[in-house]
Amino acid sequence: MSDSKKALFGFLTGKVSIANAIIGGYLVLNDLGRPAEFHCTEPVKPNRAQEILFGKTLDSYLYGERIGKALTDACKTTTAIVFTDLPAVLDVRKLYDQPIVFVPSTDRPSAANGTALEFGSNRIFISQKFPQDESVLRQRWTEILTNWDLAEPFQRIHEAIQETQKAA
Amino acid sequence: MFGERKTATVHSEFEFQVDSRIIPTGWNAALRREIPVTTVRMPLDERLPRVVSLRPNDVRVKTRQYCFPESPSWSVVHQTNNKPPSTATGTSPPNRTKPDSQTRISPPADIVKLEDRLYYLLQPPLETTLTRYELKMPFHPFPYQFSGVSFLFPRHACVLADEMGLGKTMQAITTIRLLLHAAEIRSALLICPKPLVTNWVREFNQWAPELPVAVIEGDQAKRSWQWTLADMPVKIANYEVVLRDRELVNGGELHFDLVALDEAQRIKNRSSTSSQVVRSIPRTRSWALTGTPIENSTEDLVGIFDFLSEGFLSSGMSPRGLRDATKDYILRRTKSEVLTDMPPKMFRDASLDLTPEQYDTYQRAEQDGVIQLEGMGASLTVQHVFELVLRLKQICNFDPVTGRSAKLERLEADLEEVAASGKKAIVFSQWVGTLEILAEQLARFGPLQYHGKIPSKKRDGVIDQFRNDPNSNVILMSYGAGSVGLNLQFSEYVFLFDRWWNPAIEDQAINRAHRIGAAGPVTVTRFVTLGTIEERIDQVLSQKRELFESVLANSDTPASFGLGQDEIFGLFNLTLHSGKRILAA
Repeated sequence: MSDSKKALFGFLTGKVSIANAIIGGYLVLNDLGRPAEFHCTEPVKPNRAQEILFGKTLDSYLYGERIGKALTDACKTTTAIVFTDLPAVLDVRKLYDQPIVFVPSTDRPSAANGTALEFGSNRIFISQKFPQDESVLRQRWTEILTNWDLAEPFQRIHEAIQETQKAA
Repeated sequence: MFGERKTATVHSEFEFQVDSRIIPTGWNAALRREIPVTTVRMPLDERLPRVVSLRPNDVRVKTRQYCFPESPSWSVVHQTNNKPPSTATGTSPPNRTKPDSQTRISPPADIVKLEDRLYYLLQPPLETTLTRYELKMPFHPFPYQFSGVSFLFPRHACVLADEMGLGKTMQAITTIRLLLHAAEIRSALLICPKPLVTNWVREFNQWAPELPVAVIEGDQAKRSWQWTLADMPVKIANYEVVLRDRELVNGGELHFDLVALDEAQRIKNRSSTSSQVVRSIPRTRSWALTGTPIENSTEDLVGIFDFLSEGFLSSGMSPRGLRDATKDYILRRTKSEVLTDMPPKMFRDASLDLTPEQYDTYQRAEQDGVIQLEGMGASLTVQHVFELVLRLKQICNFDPVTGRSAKLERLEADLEEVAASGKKAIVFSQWVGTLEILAEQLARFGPLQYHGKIPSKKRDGVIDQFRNDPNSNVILMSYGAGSVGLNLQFSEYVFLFDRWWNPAIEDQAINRAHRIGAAGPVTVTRFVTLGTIEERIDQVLSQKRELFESVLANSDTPASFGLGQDEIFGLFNLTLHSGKRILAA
């Protein structure tokens, strides 16, 4: 309980915008679910060569290594967990300091190669290569993982990205 | 079968002989000579094949960041609420991760800075916030009430103009509660009519029990101390107290993060002292709560907006211009829009003939009165006409000589039925004298009185008795004291013993009973005596009601909604001499 107070939680997602460019968004929430920071990328679009050369690994490279890493690095604070609805981010868990939790959503296929965990009605995935994340989550963040609607913040990010696009 | 066909191979052998001899041609010697070998140095092309390098790691990602201030949350000692939260139907909502609805806050149109817009856009749904702050609600709010809270929350200037009975009080309190907990505000001043102070205190206790609330009252010294209490985030004062303490509240030493006006039509007249004093209170946010932002004319709205943002609206703006300018600042919902399953409100006009005694008295009074008015010539004013109207209306209630009353006879008959079925009824009149006579005549129904002669401190007790005493079937109320703020939804019958000038006031009165939580259909009986001034006023009121509805329905509207001087004179077919247009309140 004391851990959750003052802790911050990151929510990472991406949105395909005009011309198939991707805009990444990263929302940092406090323990009450209120926004502390919001970061977004400018539209990112892989070229044809990258699409060919990265092949099936393009998503993990683009979302995990480039967009996700750029966003979390830009964050001024340290988050306890990075939640994402992008399954590809799980593949590059080693790049991040904190546990990565994949939250499957209804409009994105849950093709994560991860270990499934259940907290209340929340079904999440963690990296198979980092089994120690499970004990961290269970020991310290059970309350958050059980009580929060983990899919909801991604909706906020999508709306915020739309707002930034309108302002651009 | 093609697959079985084989190709036959034929082998033949024969001898092949060639005759060979050396012929002396001189070539043999040449063949024996050694071949001279000479070398030629040829430089090789040292250029390497061209290589095209693709650098797949060159996806450059630029980020933009928005940081939001983390205000320390306002800490309160949570009072234990033993009553579990329940929905309107009395069942406890399930404890689940995903709430049934998610009401998000939208940034107002006048917030243009992207960072500020994102701040509101990224806030959690209201239902989530209430859960996270562990704020309990005594009843599960309706979705439209959450929408109202999301409307109020980000706005620094707005009008919540819901129809009476939809819970403006609850929406305002819940928003104040959330703003305080989120440290968006630290001090709120609620100004309301004096009779409603206790109602607001009761509502705060119900909807925000953890918030300390101070009522500004008592003598000058006590009030001065109360105004400056720093540990009271919510202060409630009535309009009269604010006027009395104008030097203090306008002095510059006090500042409120939020000032909310209940029944904000009280300041519709911009030149009134009330309006001037309230407008001068130093504040950050300004909210106006009123079910009738336009009582008589669009000038009323201009007056209310002068409190929100002085000069934002101006006199003479067209109705369409007003609608366009204010659409992001006003939220109005009607019961028919949001409470589709609410019990119906049924109007039953009781058109009555005066008793013979009343009729004789009435005829004499009207004829004499009109003759007197006509004899006044140019000195005739609208006040003279008003006086005659009031005198005639009183005769329509009771014959001053015999005390006979056609309305009373009908009311008694109706109340017999109300009492027999164990129901409750509210009777409205504009005169305390009429109510006092009714109290005597209706003694067998256990009448209670709620009007200007009843001290404020006793009024809550009157309401409680009416609610709980099975022998009290009727409460007699004046429009002035009982038309706003009271929750009497356990009453299923409303009688308008005489009619008010303004349909909005009548609506407020009716909606004491016809509001959220109404037990069943509300029957409204409007008494009108035929062939009298009441019938003529009723026609004017009907026209005004149509005009109001046309404004609220956002259709084209005429310039004024008031009862003009010419209309008042027209009640007696009197000639309008001159003078500017006067609106009846």
